Parts: sequence; C-alpha cells; structure tokens
Amino acid sequence: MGCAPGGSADRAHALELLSPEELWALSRARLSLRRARTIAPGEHLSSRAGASLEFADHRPYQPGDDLRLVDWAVYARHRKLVTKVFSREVEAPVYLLLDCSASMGLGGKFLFAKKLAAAVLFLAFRGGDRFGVYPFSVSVVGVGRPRRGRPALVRAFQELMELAPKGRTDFAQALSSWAERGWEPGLCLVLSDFFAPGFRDGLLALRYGRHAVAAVQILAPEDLSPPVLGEVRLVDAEEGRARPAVVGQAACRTYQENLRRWNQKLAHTCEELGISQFLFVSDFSPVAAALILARRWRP
Amino acid sequence: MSFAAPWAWLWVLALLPVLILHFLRKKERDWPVSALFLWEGVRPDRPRFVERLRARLDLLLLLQALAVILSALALSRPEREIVRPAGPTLLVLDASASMAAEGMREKVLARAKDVLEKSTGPWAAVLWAEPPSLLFPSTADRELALSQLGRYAPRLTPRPELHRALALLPEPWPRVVVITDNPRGITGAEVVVIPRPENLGITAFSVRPSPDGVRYEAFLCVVNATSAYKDIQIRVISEAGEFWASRLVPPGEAEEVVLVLPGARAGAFVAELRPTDSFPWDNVRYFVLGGNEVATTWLGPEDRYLWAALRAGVSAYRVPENPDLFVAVSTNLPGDPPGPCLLVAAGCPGAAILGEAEPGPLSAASTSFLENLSLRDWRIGRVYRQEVPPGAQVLLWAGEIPILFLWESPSGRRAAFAVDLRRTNLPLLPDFPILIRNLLGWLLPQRPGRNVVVGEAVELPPGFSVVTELGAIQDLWVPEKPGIFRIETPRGPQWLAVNVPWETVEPEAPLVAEVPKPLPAKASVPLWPWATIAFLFVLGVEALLFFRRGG
Repeated sequence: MGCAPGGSADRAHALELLSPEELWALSRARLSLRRARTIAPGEHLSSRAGASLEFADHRPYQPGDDLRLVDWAVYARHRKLVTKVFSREVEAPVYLLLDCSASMGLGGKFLFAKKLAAAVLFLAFRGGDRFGVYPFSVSVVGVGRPRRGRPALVRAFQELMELAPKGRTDFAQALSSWAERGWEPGLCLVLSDFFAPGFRDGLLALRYGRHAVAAVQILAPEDLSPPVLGEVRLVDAEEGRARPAVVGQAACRTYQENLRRWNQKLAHTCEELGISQFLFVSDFSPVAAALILARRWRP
Repeated sequence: MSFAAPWAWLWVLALLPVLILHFLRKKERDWPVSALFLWEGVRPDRPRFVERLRARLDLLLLLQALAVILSALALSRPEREIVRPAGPTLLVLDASASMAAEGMREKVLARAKDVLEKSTGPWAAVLWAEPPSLLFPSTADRELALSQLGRYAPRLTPRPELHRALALLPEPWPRVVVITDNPRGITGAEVVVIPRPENLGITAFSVRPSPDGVRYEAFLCVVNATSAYKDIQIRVISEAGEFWASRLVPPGEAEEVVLVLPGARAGAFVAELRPTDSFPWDNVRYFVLGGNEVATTWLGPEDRYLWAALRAGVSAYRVPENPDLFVAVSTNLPGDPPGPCLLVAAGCPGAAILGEAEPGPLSAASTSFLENLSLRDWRIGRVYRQEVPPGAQVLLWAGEIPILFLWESPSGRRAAFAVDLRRTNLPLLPDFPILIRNLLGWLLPQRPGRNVVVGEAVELPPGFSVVTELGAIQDLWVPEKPGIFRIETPRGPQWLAVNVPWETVEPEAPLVAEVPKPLPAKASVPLWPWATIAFLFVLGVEALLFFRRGG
C-alpha cells in the first residue's frame, strides 16, 4: 500500500483536509481491535469463533460438529466430549458516524470533526480495512456499504468536504435506524458534541449490533468556558429557540456546572455500555486526536 | 475654526431619535449556543453598568451617531482661518508730497513688487494723495500689475484720509497693504514703512513792506529735521537783488529768521536754502505780495503792523469813502459799514465790544483759516469780550472768550479779531500776515489768493487766466507744482506764488505706539466638503455593515 493517495485529484481532495505532513504522521499508526499475528487482509481478530490457528475456547460437543475438532485429550481425562473453538480472523470495517447537526457548526467543531474523520479514514485505509462515512442528524444520510481501497477513500474525502452542518440531532432515531440495517460488526466511531438527549438509546443500538463503539465528543472552547456576554439573547443553534439572559461570571459558572453534569451522564452511559469515550476541543490538532484514538482505543 | 451656519448644530438633536429607535428596536444581541438546555436554570446575573453599556453599544449605533454628528458638522459649514501672505491684495501707495524725495519712488516700487511677487493675487493699487486715484484696477495678471506699478509717481499734495483712497475700490479686500513713510492713523491694514530721508526745509515764508514803504521784511522759518547741527544758508531773491543770512540750527529744531530787504517796490520773492537735500521742494519757497488794488477805509487809530500785514496780503491803499474793504481798529462803530469789514479790537452793531478780559489758553476750531499757524507761539496779553452775532462761525477762543469769528451781515462779510494787538507778539510772527491774508481771502472772495499751495483750486474771475507750461488756463486752475506763476488780468499781469506746505512734506513724526502692527492676511478655508466626504463614507460603512448583518 502506498502512503498517500496516488492520483492528482485524489491528492487534492486529501490535501484539502490533511496536509502532507499530517498524512505522513498518520501513515505510521494503525487502528485495530487487537494486534493480529498475521499480515493477511483484515488485521483485526474477531470475537466470533472461526477457523484459524489460534485456539479460543472449548464448548460442549453438539451433534454435527466436526469430529476433528473434538478434543480427545479432554475426553480421556474427563469423559466429556468437548469441541475446540478457534478464533476466526475477520476484518473489522470502520464506521464513522458524523454528527452534522447545526450545533456542530459553532466554534469550529465541524471542521475539526471532518479532519478527525479524514484522519481516521486514512488510518483505516492504511490498515487495509473497509470504511464508510455516515453523516447523521435526525437520520443517517449515507447507506452505502463500507469499501476498501483508494477510490473509496477519495470518495469518502469528497463526501466529507461536501458536508455542512444543519438541522438538529436525534441520536436515538438516527443511530437505531442505522444499526437496524444489520451492518457487519466493526469499529464504530460516533463524532458528535453529544448535546442532544437520547444518545444512550443510540449508543445502545450500536452495541446491540455488536460494534466496538467509541464516543468521540468534540466541544468548542466557548462550549467549555463561555465568555462573559452581558445582556444577550441566547439562541439554540439547532432548535432556534431563544432565551434572554444576562451572562456574567456567576451564570458562566452555573453553565459549566450543568455541562459537567451532562458530560458525567455521558461518561456513565459509556461506561455502562462498554463504550470508549474521548473528549477533544476543537482548537486541538485533529491529527493528534486521531493518533490518540489509534493509541488508546482498545475495544 | 469657525462656523458660517452655527445654528445647523441643532441637527445633532437627531441623535435622540436615532438612540431611541436603536434601543426600541434591539435590546439584546443574539448569541448562538450549542445547547440551550444547558443554560436552563441559569439565574441571570446582575450586570455591572459597564457590562450593560457594553452590551447595549453597537458598532452600527456608533456609526449612525457619527454620521449624524458629521452631517451636523457639514451643515454648519465649518471654516478654518489660515494666515497666508497670498490672496487678493490691495496696494495703497502713498503718493503724497513727502514721498517725492529722491530715491523714495524706487523704494516704494521695490516694496510693492515684493508684495506682488509674494502673493497670488488678484491685485489692485490706488495712489494715496490728494486727490486719490486708481493706479490699476483689480487684475489677476501679475505681469500687467507689475508694469502698471511703473506709473506710480508721487505728487506734491497732501494725503487725504485713508478711507477716501479705499473707497475707490469698495469691494472688500482681505489684505490691504499700505506703503508709506508715515504710518500714523492707519488702522486695519498691513503697513510697510519706508524711512524718509533727513530733511532741511523752509516751513514758512512771507514778506511784508515796512510801514514807510522803503523796504521789506521777510519772515522765514527754517527747520533742521536731521540728526546733526546744520549751518543753513538762506537766500531771499527779489526784484531788487539777493539777500543772504545764515543760521546754525540744532537737530530737530526750527529757527525763525527775519531779513530786511532794502529796495523799491517788489512783487515776488523767492527764498532758497543751502545746502539742498534730497527733497528740493521745501528748499525753496515763493511769496507774492498782493497785486490787486484794494481800496481800504481805515476806521480808528493807526496800526502800522496791521497795515503792513494787510499790504502783505493784498495791494491795499487808503480811500476816504466807497472802499473795497473797511478796517476798523480799537473802536465801536456806530453804524454798519456797507461792505466787507475787518474788525480788529473793534465792534459794530450786533457785535459790540463789551469790555476787556484776561485771555485763557487758546483753542481753535478745525478750519482752514488757521492752517499753517503755530498757535503755541502766540503770546496774547489782553482780549476783548465781544458780542457774537447769531450764526457767526467762531474760529478761535481764548479760554471761553471767542476772539476770532466770522459772520455774514446784510451789509457784507465781517471778520472780528478781538485782540489788543499792542499787547501781543503777533506782529513779530510770520503767522500774523498769514492770518490776515486768510481772513482777506474770505472777506474778498472774488480776488484770487496770491499765495496758494499745490493742489489748491484757484478760481479765476472772468477775464483772468494763468500761464502754465500747458498754455493759458481760465476759470479754475489746480497748480501741480510750486513756483511763481503769471496771471493775466484785465488790469495787467499779476503774480501767484505756489508752495508745497511743510506739513505735507514733513508730516509729524510717527509715534511708535501708534504704528499699527501688520495685519496678517487671513483666508477662510471651507471644511464642509471634507465633513461631507467623511459623512458619506461613514454612511457607506454603516450601510455595508447593516446589510452584512442581514438588514
């Protein structure tokens, strides 16, 4: 595999999202469930049993099992028929679920999310995995199967560049409807600010689909610490609702406390569902964020 | 900075509706947030005044306020006064007799050219002398103005009031430059002073025959207006010959000289000064004894000095009756004499002598009768209280007592001089024959004066003509230069002396405190176009910002 897309148009699309230096930095990283021992396509080890050289477990013999897989040593010792189960080497497609609601358009969050998505896609491309981008707000827009290879990468980059934030977020409906399509289990990254109720149902639906899920929360600096605005009319970016407020130091502190509680709720949900949670600020480097994901995400 | 229409600042009141509309229209600015529900339950702060003001202030509002202020500024038509040497300039060139000294013309022209070259014009120039005249009208052609300056030539006449010269070009001139040797009395104009050269001159000259008729007495006053002692040689020329005298005159002082001229009857006299200086017109003076025969009837006791003074003014002779002139001395006339009458310490019906009195300080009316007289030299020991007829013109007071007055009676003109001549020094002064001559000029108006000054109009009776370089002149003649001129009359030729008055040659030295400072030429630069441009620019920026915000 090459270290960068080959065609000039492809290169142009890639360079608009990621610079050559960033691509070079990403080229040495891998995004994987677990380090595989083979170099065959699909370097992720699936938790589903299959045929491979690596022993996984025993299970009681069932009629129809291949007699070559019966562990006769166990039978000799315990007088029970058990069948050896081996891990099946499978490839894990990478699903990028990108929140495209209007709230992502504030504070540079959406641009950060697109660059982070591009970096993750490039990691998947470098790993020889299939990947797909699925923007969502109320529902998921993309329905195509994940693809592998340079053309898929180029198409994904192009799709990323054409995305614009609008509308509101409905995690439950969007992620559930996506998960119900029966996607092959894989690495599922949800890029969002998670500023919408119903994220638990959405994440739960992903887990039901046996995906390894990472909730990547992206916040703007002003989301974390809003400035002292004085007498303003606060307008919800997604719903358009407005509320007059006098934002001073005390109001900012109260808001930050509310945000802390909200993020705590998200963290509890992720912990409960076995989901990895990451938080990035939009003024952070997207490439560095992708490298952190590659290094620390261990589903 | 000044404002041509300061009331336009009322337009600033338009700020009030702008402010009111702004605060009515929009109380808070919108601030989009990612999640409004996180702000639910946030208790509003109590903002500080500064925060509230900062929240209310808007760039759009500031631009609107600035636009209103700039429009008010433009409407008030601001002007800035700048001092600049350039601009429309009116040159007033002193062309009076004092400027006729040698070298003065060149200095005046040099300074005038300097002014012309350092200004942008247009220019105009007037000659400041009697009568004032236009040297060249307003022109923006510098070359034309410079060439017209060459026409400048001083006259031998005095200078009138400055406003008479300025009246020739009545339009307002932002810059008036007066080039003169005497800045006294000039106000509201830039003055270029040209120092006058040192001068020696004869300030007064008159001749009278002695009472016995065998000789003449010439009275002269010479002045040394220099900074050094001067040994002045005086020569008086008559038909009988030349007579010399000399005086050592201290600087800045005048010396009176009396010369006895023996000889037979003479008519014209010339007094000359040696050494001559740069102003020759006052180094020589002319005097002519009266040529017209005036039949005189003398009433009262004899007074030979008064008679001599009369003879100096007119060619008088005695007649017992039907005279041209009555002269009454030290008497109260019982009846009104039929014809002109000179009353010296004498009264008549309607102007009777009331008694003697001690004189007070002399005070004179502003009149041409007393021109060229030095009243401060007069010593008067006794005056008379005299009845002043209604309508009389009083010329001189001694304290509160009128001692010289004129009036017209039904019988003829009257001049009363209520002074005891025996107790005055007047007969010894040159002023006396001058005064008598002036009075005779009024009493006998049909007879041309024998001694006039340059520029003084001389009315010539029918049959009279004066011979000049330009030919014979009749009716009215204005002499332009000094000298002795021949007048043809039906009775035969007579002589007329023309002099340049000393006052016009050597005007009183300027007082330093009265020398006006040059007025800077000021010009108003209109600033309203700039204010309008700034207003339109701010309005454009405001509109751009308005539409960028979505209208």
